[in-house]
Amino acid sequence: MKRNLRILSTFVLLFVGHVIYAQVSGTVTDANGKPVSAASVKVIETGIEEFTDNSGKFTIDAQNGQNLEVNAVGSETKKVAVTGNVVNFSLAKSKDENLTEVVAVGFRDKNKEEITGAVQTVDEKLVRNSLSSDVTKSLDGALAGVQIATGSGQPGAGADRIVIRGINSISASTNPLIIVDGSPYEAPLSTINNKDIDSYTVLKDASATSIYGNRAAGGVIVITTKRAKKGNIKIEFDARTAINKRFGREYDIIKDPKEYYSLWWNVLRNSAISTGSSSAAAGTTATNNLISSLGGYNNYNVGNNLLIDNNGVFNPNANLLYHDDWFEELFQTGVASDYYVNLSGGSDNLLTNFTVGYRDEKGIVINSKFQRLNTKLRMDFRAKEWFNVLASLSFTNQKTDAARTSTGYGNAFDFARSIAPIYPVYAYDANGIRINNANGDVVYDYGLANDGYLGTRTYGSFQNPVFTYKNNRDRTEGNYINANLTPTFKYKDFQFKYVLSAQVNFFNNRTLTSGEAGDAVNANGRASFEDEKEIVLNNQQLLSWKKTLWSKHNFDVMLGHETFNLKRENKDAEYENLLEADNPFLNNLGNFSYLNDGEIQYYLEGYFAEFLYNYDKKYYLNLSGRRDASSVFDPDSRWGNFYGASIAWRLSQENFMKDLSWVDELKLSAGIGTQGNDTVLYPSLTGANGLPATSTRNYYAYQYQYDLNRSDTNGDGIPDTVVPTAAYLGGGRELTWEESKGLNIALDFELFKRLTGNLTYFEKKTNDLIFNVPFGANYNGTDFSGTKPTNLGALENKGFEVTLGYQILKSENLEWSVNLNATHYKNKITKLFGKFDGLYRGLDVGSNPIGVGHSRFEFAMPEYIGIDASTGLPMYNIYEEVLNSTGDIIGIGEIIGTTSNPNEATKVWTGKKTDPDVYGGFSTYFRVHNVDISMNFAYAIGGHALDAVYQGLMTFGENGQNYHRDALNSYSYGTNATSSIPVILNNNQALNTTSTRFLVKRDYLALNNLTIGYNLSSEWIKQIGLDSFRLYAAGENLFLFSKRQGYDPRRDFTGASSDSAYPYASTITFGMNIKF
Amino acid sequence: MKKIILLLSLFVFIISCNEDNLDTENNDKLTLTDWGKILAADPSKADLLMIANYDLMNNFGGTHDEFGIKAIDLGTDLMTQDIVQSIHHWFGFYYLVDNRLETYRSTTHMWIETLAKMANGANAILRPIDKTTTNPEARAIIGQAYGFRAYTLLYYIHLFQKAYSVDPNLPGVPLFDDDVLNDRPGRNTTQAVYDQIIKDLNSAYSYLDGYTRPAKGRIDRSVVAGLLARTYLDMENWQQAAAWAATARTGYSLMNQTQYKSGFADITNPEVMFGYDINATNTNYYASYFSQISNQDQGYAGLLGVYKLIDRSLYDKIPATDYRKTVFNGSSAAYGLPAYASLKFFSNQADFSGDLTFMRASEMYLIEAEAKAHYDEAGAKQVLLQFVSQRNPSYTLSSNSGQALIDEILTQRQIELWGEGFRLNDLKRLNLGIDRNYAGTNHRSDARLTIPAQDVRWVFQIPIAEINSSDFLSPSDQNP
Repeated sequence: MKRNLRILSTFVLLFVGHVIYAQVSGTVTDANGKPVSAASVKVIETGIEEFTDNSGKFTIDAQNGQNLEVNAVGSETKKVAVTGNVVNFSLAKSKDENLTEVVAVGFRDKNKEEITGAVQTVDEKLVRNSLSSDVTKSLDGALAGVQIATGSGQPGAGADRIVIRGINSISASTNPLIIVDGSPYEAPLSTINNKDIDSYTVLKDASATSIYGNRAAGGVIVITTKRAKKGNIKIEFDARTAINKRFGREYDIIKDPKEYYSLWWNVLRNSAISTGSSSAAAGTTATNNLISSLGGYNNYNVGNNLLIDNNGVFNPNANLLYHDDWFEELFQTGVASDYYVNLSGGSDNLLTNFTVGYRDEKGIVINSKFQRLNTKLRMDFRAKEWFNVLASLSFTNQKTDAARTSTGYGNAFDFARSIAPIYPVYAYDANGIRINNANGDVVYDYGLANDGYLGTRTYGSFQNPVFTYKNNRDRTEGNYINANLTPTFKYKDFQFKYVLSAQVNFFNNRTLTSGEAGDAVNANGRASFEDEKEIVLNNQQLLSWKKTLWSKHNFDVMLGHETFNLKRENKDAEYENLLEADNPFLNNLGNFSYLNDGEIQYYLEGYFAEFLYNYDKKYYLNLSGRRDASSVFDPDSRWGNFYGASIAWRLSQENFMKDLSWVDELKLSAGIGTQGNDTVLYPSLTGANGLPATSTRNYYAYQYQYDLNRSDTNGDGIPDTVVPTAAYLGGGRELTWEESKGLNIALDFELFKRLTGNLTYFEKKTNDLIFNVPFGANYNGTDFSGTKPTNLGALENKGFEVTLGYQILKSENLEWSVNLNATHYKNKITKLFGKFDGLYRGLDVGSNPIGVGHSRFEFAMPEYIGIDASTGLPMYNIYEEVLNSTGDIIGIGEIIGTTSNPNEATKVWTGKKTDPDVYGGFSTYFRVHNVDISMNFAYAIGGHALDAVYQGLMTFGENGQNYHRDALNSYSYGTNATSSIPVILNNNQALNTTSTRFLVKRDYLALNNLTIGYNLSSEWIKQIGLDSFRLYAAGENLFLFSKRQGYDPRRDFTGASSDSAYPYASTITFGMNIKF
Repeated sequence: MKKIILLLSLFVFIISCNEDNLDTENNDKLTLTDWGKILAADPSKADLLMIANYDLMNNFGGTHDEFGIKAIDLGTDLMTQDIVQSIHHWFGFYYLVDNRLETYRSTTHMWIETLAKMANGANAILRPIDKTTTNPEARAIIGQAYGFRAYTLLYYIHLFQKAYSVDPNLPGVPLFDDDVLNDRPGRNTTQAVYDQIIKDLNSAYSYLDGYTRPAKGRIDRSVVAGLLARTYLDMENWQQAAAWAATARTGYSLMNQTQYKSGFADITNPEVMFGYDINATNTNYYASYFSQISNQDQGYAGLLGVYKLIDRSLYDKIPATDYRKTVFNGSSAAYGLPAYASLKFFSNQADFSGDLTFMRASEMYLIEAEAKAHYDEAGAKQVLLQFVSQRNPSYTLSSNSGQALIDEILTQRQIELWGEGFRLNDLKRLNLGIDRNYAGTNHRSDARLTIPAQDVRWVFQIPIAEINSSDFLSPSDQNP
């Protein structure tokens, strides 16, 4: 009421024209002329305080002669006397280093212009608008040089893989090091609420990352979380609700039983002809075996042998008796809600920021969900002029109910796609009437004639994922505690900072597999748990000295020491034979299966120094060095040295540029450096696409190790003896980290105050590639034994990055900006070990061999050239082979023939590779008055991927499997002999062989995010006591253009499709954000 | 200045750390160093590796046609004429004799997943151990390891090359000796492989002197003798084969009718010489021999109808008075199973925990009879009589001689060992082909193959991963 009166009186007085009480308005801008939001504007005399809105505007009641004080983060406090109705502030940058506009790089915050390496920060709008539980998942296309595989659509699942400037390792992990608030972070990124993120910065080149030593080869992601600003307590509340829908469409599979039976009849007929039957006899065979070969399931009301006649004509009198759609039964529209409360504020001595977030998300598959509660308290104790302490404590609890994504019949996605559309979800009687049990409940069809169903399914009998997804359980609960304490001492130009971080991560997984149907019928149900306790301690001591000498020589020197200690204890156990059908606790089960209990330890230590110098903010020199040790390696080889050096020249600061008023910033920089990689993985050379599995890190790579298993030696059915099995061969004394060397040359510019950009050329070479070198006859591609990690081989990535931003319109009520980034790089293996160096296909693993001169991701496979018109079989080229004295192929010559036997075909380098020619993203932001729209796209041009799902849907694997609708047009003897699609036979395994036939272009364009926001007018919301009130609607992952319907190239780094992957969901969100 | 000194000293104090932290403890796996200490304190602990080796014979390889030795036995039997698989399912491409190429899972499962692991396991014992020891426990372990390695090599050469009797100079498989210096990691020759097998078996026989095994899951002298008999049979060294077969079966009695019809699922059966005891903790469930071969167990064969039938022509060869005829359905469906369905194997266990049999006394009788038929027909007939009269009470002394006698013995071998993994090697060593397309055949219409003797389809290719990874194998070393 009082406020209203005041407004009323303002009006009155204005009309009177006699100004004693005025409403003063204005805009607060920073040193760069950009509006400053949430700056505090206070009338010193009256204590009235208001805050600026998103465009830096404020309105406050003040009188002429009174004084306004403006406080904003990163700026000097400014006082101005009121002399009229409009007072604009332009704030200077603060001298307080804690409050400057900075980027967190290499243990310290640096001013943007000081940065000489390849460092890029994600647009804060993108972070703010991200709807994912892990912000990284939303960043595909957001940054030049960064590739993100979105991975699983399971709620709560993080991005699958982050690759910065190309893969630079083969047997080691290439994931970047994650630093959160200064310390390495081991918990999943989903434990950090997107809204708590203040900045998300990626360090891409060696000169910037070498100071992180032997963990930085994959690049570094530095995340800082929000800190409180000085001033009154501010409260932010954000609430949103969302729906998740299956993204995109499924492959164009056969859904109509009639189409299916007709295709299968053709397969039977063609197969019979291929083994010598006459066309007529083959037709009869097909007609008579049609239903029996599918286990007896006939969806129609005519006899089994009458459904399709021996000429292949479908009985026109056949009527459908029953038909279920597996997709409809398995998939759902998931609803999600997310709440966020932040309280923040403080005095000169104590700043506090407190967050609570809660998220509840249901996935697109029945029974998959995610719940998260996170809290974070961050306090800034400014005890003395020379001493302050930054402390934070966070706790996250998250529960995930996972849809089972293992391969096989238990996987809903694979199952629904791969089962012939003739098999029902529910049990039917012979008349096509659904059977209910005595209680009136539905009965599921498990496809077993013995149990009274219509037949015995030849596809996945025992299994019914609709039942198992409803009754099985796979719940993971994680509890993550993270405490940080950073006391800082200052004396004159010296500063000593001690960063202590402790993380305690508890992880518990429980599964229950029903004894009624599915995988554990024989065991009468199965349950397991896994408990993991991880304790991470990180200590950093940082001593720095910063001084300007002789007025223009700026020095900033740091010495540091770091230790990192990780201990992870893991237990898992499984029992069988359930008492209570839905109780997963092991006391409820009778029959012991296994118990494992072990622990790993990992320790790192490093000494480092950094020397920053600039002359008059024109010429910059950064040097850094680190001496680092990792417990992964032998005592004799664990210490290594890494360095980084970079220079920059800010041309825009030169006198000769001063006249060019349109040049705001022009910086040329160059850097070199080295990085290490100690994430040796247990070997998995034959894993998916030959990429190392990231889950099996070898923390004791130099030690010769045995796995320990239990064995029952006295035959009583209870294991009694521990036996060493599966020897892991250690790398011994010689093994040391992979070292990669990087070069980075960049031009940064800002022109016309509108156009910003960066052009970069980069090189990244790894010379001591760790290979898990296999031994003859010992070699085991999947069970890790018989290989030895060894530093052999080399590879390189070379490329360009471009980032451009253009502010098309910029006025009070109208803003429009666009951003674009593009990256092109080439990956090349430059050296291999042993005989492989000289071989044509190098280390010939799967369809992505590792060969010198070729990309790690180039395909080598039989070259498909169409079909043989007389046999319908696929044809491949045979090349002349150049052999060495031992008969190994060292090259190929001309095409010397063709064959339909893929094993005679030459497996040639196709020139087609996974890496796109160009990839990146573009985004736009548009605002008119209070309405803003932003859109983020990601794209890739060029590159191929192996579409194994399509391959499976186009070839025969088992009776009762489904096919792609392309198969309807496949070659058929005598009836469709002009088809360009090879014949499908059930007796020729060679037809399934991977060849260029199954490569698919992986170009894509995806709309990752679209957000429309409406900020309620500041005058109106102030009346109800708020600072801002925003309503928004957002969509994430809205559309994708890719080569083939159903194929999503973004899921995996290599673009490869996976039959069992949880599809990425589309999310539509409505939310509101209130600040007061 | 004082404060600077304070700061610097604080810094120095904190960074002076303890280097020992970098020597992290491995509490997840057993390091070789620790294992060395265990063995030094008690050499008999090497037995743990031998236990692990036996477990490898039942190793689940990831898919339901990969479960170690018996998966190989079943797969190779399906490549002959004797077994019919009623529908295309697991093992379907074995049945279509289309599962032998270097890129297929089958070769990886055989060479790498099963046999290489077993051979490596034996070497892990034989290389470091002091072979001059007089400790009886240690000698027993050494003997078992030698026998185990020979067992592995015999499988290798059966699968990856034609028979010794065809040409002993054909390329063999890599050989790894007790001493690294004697390793021959290239293909060698079939002769060299057989020499190594004989050498290993002789060593085993000598080391196992006086060893009484605790269970039939372990190799003792009788098993070594049986392996020697098998090996000499391959080599057509008839006298040695017969002599070792006779030695091997000493102390074992043949099954009676009741035991014969009890499912071949229990190694306490008096005839079993070497097997593996399956129970609830080590069963591979659906991925198991009994799930795949037993039409009565509720697995792939029994429940899903991937029936295993006997070839009709072989069935017709079993005399009506022979009770072995009753472990197969006749020409009409019975017991809810189709015509010619096998009733031979069953565990009657929901978890398929039927024991695995690797060697039994009947085979020794048959080896002895076959071997003797080449040089002592009277002796051969007597052994045959002893054996067959146990199966067919009406059987009388054979009146055959020459090739007819040998053929009679081989038919007995085919009938007796049906489904146990012997037929493919028999076809190879005896230079026989198959014809599934005879009049009245019960083979599936898409599998009525006719395959001539010594067909390339019966020699598996070396897995591509092995060729790729070995410095001693090149593409030119690959089987055709």
